[in-house]
Amino acid sequence: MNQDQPAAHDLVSTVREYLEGLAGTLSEEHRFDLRVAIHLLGIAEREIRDRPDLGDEERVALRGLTGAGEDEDEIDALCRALRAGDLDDRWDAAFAAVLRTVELKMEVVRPSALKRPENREVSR
Amino acid sequence: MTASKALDEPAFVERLARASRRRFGTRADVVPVGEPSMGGINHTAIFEVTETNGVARRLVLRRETYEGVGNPFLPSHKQYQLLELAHARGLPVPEPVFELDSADDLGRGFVMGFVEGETLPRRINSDPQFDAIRPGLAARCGELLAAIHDFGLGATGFLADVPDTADPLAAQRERLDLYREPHPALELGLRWLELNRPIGGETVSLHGDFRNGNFIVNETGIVAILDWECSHHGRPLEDLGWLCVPSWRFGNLARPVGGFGARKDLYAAYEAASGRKVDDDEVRYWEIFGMVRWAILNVMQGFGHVHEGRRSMVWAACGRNVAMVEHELMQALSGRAPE
Repeated sequence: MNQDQPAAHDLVSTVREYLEGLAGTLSEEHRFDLRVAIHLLGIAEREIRDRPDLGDEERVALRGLTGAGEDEDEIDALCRALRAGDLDDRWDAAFAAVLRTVELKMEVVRPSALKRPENREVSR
Repeated sequence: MTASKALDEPAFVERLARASRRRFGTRADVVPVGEPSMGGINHTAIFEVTETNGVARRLVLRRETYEGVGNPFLPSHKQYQLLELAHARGLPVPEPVFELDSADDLGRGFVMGFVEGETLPRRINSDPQFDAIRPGLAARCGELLAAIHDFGLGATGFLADVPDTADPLAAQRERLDLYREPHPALELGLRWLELNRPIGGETVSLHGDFRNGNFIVNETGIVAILDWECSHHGRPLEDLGWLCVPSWRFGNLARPVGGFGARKDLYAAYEAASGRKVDDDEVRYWEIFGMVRWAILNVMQGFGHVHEGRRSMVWAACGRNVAMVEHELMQALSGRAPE
């Protein structure tokens, strides 16, 4: 059964927007706490709304890469294979698979960092 | 800073006063000053002791508070020994004043001198009052690290049994395993570090957490090196790499040394003061190690929030902050397949 409107992510964003409006009224110490609170609510909002996850084909490919056992979770298998050195000779494929897991988390935690051109160190 | 928490409890202040009178005489009086609110691992309380001669002296109480599994931090007794050593050698550190003992009934910890100044990295990196010292800061870090690395393995023999002394990679792996959460990026990083391990070379005493945020700065430069709880023995460049980890640049990625300085200044000053050659590739190896280590410390704090009752928004954020450090790690490892 569907719950009534607003959706859960919308409830979270409504609270987040309210808190954002409080920033000017608080002491420096509480402003820091408020920034953390807004950051956490943003994470919850994106996770509930977007639920980024591996696709079925990606899961199959990951199981193939890692030799995952029937009852073994794909991510556990990736960790196990990396630590054992089983993927040393397929480093690029392992790197791509790992990067995908990190990007799925970043889509929730800080999607802006996936998009912006990096302010990288240019020289020594 | 707010005068709250432990210093608000009369019984706590009374125990602190009793501890002070045991050292400074029966007429010493204690006045609470405050507790820095964004502290991490130790409980820190600032207070003033008025001694019998009427002179008020500002002091800092540091107590062990972390009680979770896999505590990666040195017991306070060893931290105090390091402060004594650094102080005796004339390094800028808070003066070690006394260690707590069981008669104080205040737990484990110590009291040190208060040092006035700035620790907030973003202010150190951008506040105009530090414009004059900022250009020399990276070089000063190199000189101070050389001095710490010169303590000697004998004088710091109490660091020999620290897991990171035995094997820094194994120490990280063992900690990660305690927190029962799969992290493919950290496994990839640990594997890369294993396959590229530097070999040979010298072992020295390391600060272990020398980075922007862990020293006090005023208009004259660095006036106190803090937070010795991660000290161990290891390869000298481990400390230089940690200082350059992207997270410690506080958004100022183009300035690799703490977000305030250039590698060449750090390296040249370290080379001149220590007589050792700095291998840039090895510093970057320890930066990658540092990202893995910092990510695991964040996993630890997230674990503490979920499973060990150390509940706070900041520790909760640490758990999710891991992804950001892993993202930086993947960028650093990109195009660096092991040989």
